[in-house]
Amino acid sequence: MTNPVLTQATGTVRWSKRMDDVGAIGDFIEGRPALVHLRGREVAIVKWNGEIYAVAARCPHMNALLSAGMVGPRLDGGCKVGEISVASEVPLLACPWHGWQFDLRTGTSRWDSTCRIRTYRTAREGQRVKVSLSLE
Amino acid sequence: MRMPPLFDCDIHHSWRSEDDVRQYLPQRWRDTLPAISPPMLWLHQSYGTNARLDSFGANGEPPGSSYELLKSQYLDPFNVKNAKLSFYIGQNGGLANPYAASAVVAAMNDWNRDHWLSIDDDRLLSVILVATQDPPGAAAEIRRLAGHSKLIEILLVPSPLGKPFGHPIYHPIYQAATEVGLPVGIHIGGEGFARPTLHIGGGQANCKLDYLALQTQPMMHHLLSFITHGVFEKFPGLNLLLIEMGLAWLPSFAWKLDRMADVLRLESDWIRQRPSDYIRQHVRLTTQPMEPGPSRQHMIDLLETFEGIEEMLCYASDYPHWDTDNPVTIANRLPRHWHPGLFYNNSARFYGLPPIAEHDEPGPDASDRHRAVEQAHG
Repeated sequence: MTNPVLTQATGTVRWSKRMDDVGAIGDFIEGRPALVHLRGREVAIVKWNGEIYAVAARCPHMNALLSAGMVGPRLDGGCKVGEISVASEVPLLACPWHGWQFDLRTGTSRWDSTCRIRTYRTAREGQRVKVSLSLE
Repeated sequence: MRMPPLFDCDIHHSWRSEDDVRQYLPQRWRDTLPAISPPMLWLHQSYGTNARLDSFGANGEPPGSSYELLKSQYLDPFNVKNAKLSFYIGQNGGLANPYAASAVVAAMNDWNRDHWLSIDDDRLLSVILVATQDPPGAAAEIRRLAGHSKLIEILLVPSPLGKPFGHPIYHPIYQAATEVGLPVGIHIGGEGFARPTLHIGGGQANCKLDYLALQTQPMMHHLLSFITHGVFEKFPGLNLLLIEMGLAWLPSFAWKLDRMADVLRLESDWIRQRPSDYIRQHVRLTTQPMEPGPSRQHMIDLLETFEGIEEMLCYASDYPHWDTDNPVTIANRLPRHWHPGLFYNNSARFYGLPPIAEHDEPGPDASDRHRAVEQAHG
C-alpha cells in the first residue's frame, strides 16, 4: 500500500519555464501516486491513462500527504437515484485520510470549487518525465 | 505558534495477525473459537478500509500494528508525550458468547501488556478492555490488571446486552473501577459490531454516512443513563471519558436535560444535581471528530455556552483511522488559551498524571501555511 518516493531535486524554485527531470516514465506506476521532493516542494506525480499529472502533495483540509492517496475516475450520480456513471476521462486523486478528491487536470476539489491544490505543468521528453514549478 | 505537547486519548493499535492474540487464549477457546472479533456490521468503506491509506506497513501490515510506524509517522513529529492505546477498536467484548468474550478480552489485555506496554517508551499508555457482555467477569478483569502503571482507563466499547451503559446491570464494572481508582472510557462504534445494540433510532445504519452521523445517538443514551440511574451518586469517584462522538451536540443536550430534571426527579429521586453539573464534574469528551461548523467562531460560540467546556475537552487523533484529526487543525479552530488544557492538562488531570506548565515543553508548530489554509476555510 505504500506509494513510492522517487526522486529528490534540490535548489530554489526559479520562476522560469525551466522543467525539472523527475524520472523515467517507467518509474511511475499507473494510478499509483509518487512523491517527488522538488526544490523544497512536495509534488505528487500521477500516471493515468497515458497522461502524467503533477500537483502539490499536501491536502488543504488537514495537510495529509496526497501522494499516499488513491487515483480513480470520477463517479457521477445519474438522473435517477441509485444510478452511477463512470467518467473515466476525469482522473481524481483522493486524500489518504478523509477522502477529499481533487481533479488532477485542474486541482479543483470535487466537493468545493473554491478549494484547489496547485497543478504543475508536465511534459515527456523521450522516456523522461519533466515537471515545471513555474507559474503559468 | 507553538503548541503544547500532546496527550492523545485515542490511538488504535492492533496485532499483525489474530494468532498473536490467540496464543493467550485458554486451549478450549483456541481450539473452538473461529474468530476473536464478532461479525462486523458490513458497511461500505469508500476506499476499502477504515484506516488512513498511509498507515499500512510497507508490506501491507495492518494499520496500527507497527510501533515503529506509529512513532515515526505520528508520535515523534507531533511531540506526543502520552499516547493512550485503545485497541482496534475493542469490539471483541461483544462476542455472542459471554464466556468467550471474557476470555478473548483477557487474552487481548495480556497480549497488549506483553507486546506494547513492554516497549521501552514511556509515552505508551493503554486501557483495560472489558467484556461488557459479562459485567461480573469484567469486574474481575479490572481487579486482575489494576496496578499496572501503564493501564490508565477501563474501556467499554459495545453494549451487547441491549441496555445503555448506565443501567444497573453494568454497575459491577463501576464498583470495580472506583475500587481500583481508574476512570472509564466509552468508545463509540461498538454499536455497529456487537449483537443487539440498536441505540440508533430506526435501526441499524444502512451506509457509512448514516453510521458516522448518527453515532452521537448511542452516546447520548449512554450518558443520559448514567444520570437517570444515579451512577454518579452511587459511585461519586467515577469519571467518564466519551470517545469519538464529536462535541457540538453536548450544549443543547444538556439544556434539555437541565430543563426537565426537576420534573424527572419524581421518578429518579437520586438525582441531586443539575444534569449539566454531573457532566461538568464527571465527564470529559475527546475532540475527534470535531465538527468544523460554518466558521471557527460559530463553533467556539456554541461550545462556550456550556460553562467550563474548555476544561472538559481532551485531544484525540483517532490514529490511524481515516477520519483522524490533525492536531494543528484543532489548534487553529479553538482558542489559544484553551490549548494547554485540551491538548494535555485536561487529560493529565483526568488520569491523575502530572500536568505540564504552559509553554513548558513546546509541541508541534502550527505553521503559517497551515493556519492560512484553515482561515481560508472559515
